[in-house]
Amino acid sequence: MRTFGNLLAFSPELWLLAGAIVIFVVARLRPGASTTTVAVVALVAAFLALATQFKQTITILDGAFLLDGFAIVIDVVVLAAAVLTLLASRADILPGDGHADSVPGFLLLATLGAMLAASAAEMVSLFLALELLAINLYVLAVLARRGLAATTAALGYLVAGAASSALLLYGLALVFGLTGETRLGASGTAMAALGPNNPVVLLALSLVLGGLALRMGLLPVRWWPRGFEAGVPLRVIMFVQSAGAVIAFAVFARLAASTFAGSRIPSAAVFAGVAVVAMTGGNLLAVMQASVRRLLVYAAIAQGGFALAAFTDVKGLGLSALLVFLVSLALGNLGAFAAVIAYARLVHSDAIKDLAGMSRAAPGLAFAFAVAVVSLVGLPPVAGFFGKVLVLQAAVNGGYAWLAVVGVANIVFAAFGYLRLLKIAFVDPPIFEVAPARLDRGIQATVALVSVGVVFMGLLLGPLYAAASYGRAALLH
Amino acid sequence: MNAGLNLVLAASAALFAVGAFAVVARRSVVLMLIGTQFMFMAGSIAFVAFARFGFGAVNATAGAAVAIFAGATAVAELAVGLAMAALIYREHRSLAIDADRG
Repeated sequence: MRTFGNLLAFSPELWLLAGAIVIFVVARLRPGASTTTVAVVALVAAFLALATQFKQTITILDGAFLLDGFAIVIDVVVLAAAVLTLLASRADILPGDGHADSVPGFLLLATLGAMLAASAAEMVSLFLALELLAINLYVLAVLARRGLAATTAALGYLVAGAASSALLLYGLALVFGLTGETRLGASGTAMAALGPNNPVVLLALSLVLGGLALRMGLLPVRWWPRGFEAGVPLRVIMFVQSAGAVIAFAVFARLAASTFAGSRIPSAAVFAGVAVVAMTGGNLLAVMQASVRRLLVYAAIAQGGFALAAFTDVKGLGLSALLVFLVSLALGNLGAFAAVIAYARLVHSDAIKDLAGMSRAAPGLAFAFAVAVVSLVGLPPVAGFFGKVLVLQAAVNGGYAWLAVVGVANIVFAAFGYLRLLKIAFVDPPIFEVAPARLDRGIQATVALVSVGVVFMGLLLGPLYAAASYGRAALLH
Repeated sequence: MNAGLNLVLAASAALFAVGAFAVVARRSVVLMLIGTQFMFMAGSIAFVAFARFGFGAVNATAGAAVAIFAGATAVAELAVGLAMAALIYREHRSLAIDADRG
């Protein structure tokens, strides 16, 4: 039965679209008006609209979108990341940036694309949603800061992103060719009928993983993250590294659970191999960096490796572990980048050596930064610990105990590598006197909210794990 | 019938390789952007080929629809990319975005 009904289930997305339209009109008619407020209101409205749809699976547009528990959990994370990024934005605007009133509108459109991608269950809708997210991120990267370095970095990001989208498209084409289905669920059923160890299925999986790798933050390619982190403003990186990475993993989880789960190829071995390379390589690259933002972007490669390790047990614990890990990853990255934005406002630098004296100049900020870094490393008792433990448990359940051992070794290595930052921030004498400056209230709120989230996620682990299991059950039917 | 599929797929793979080469090895922004378009079109052609010849023939319209939408988004991406290229050219008087490449 063909149905175009249930369009009302798009109400969260429609709020975002309406907010974006209002922002573009206001930015054109009344330059200097506070478009950020409009964007925050639209995001809150979208969250409320989403809250009315908890606990049910809604099929939209004849199966093109599937608003299930998994999509709702991811949507909540994305909306939260968008709000926190918006709140942190004002502190990252430099005097030379001019009136970028329409930037929150593009952030809303990117969030819209991200939410659609989380629920897309068909190749056309999936690809369109991912492109809506990606193109708005390119526009954000170029609009948010003036200057040649920023534009060049944004263009490099666009070229690398377009090439990876094309890889993904080719991978989807191979899936379509093998199964004759563009719906992810139906293609999984057809995939199960294929013979074992089909090389084309393996090629399709590799292309899809390769196409999403950049958005997962896994690739140290030419401009990503090297040029990207140097030129693109921190508030955009903050959104890309939280919501963007979460969406890439969510899309890959849907593909892995519905399309590739039935295929008889050694997919878990592929995931384990890539995970080991990513977590080890990312940590090695990260500890060699001299700038905090660069360190954080490289550390995200290692985080991506951990997230990929959860896929070794897709049918068991894997997806629940992945969801909990993604929440902790988003919180950790948001917190760390917000703290870097705030501190860069004070010292006009993001070099690691300039962290010295942070605990004296801005004790609250230093504490928030410490909490975020400890969470990213994966030490107890904060958010990252629980995510990492669940992921490692999933790897053991999937029969990859050696992967869990490598993961633990990486956590220990990262602990020694990254805690150096905290030693500099808390122990080392300051290189120069930091003039106390009043921080914008938005960034203060962001830093405080994220720190509370990171510290208390352990207490909320029960409900969070229940939500994650609910999401996992939706994906595995 | 399968000869047709293989031929089209070989052509699309070749197109993809040409595009990937342009993205990786060229330093002019415009050539890199055109390279990404080649890669998108290769994917679209593969979709159409599977829809016409392969298993995809059961859902031929779905395959063609993906190709059309992918083409549209590719052009949207190209538009944003060319706008950025124009910005860079205005400030830099050059379309090379990375000086250490030849």
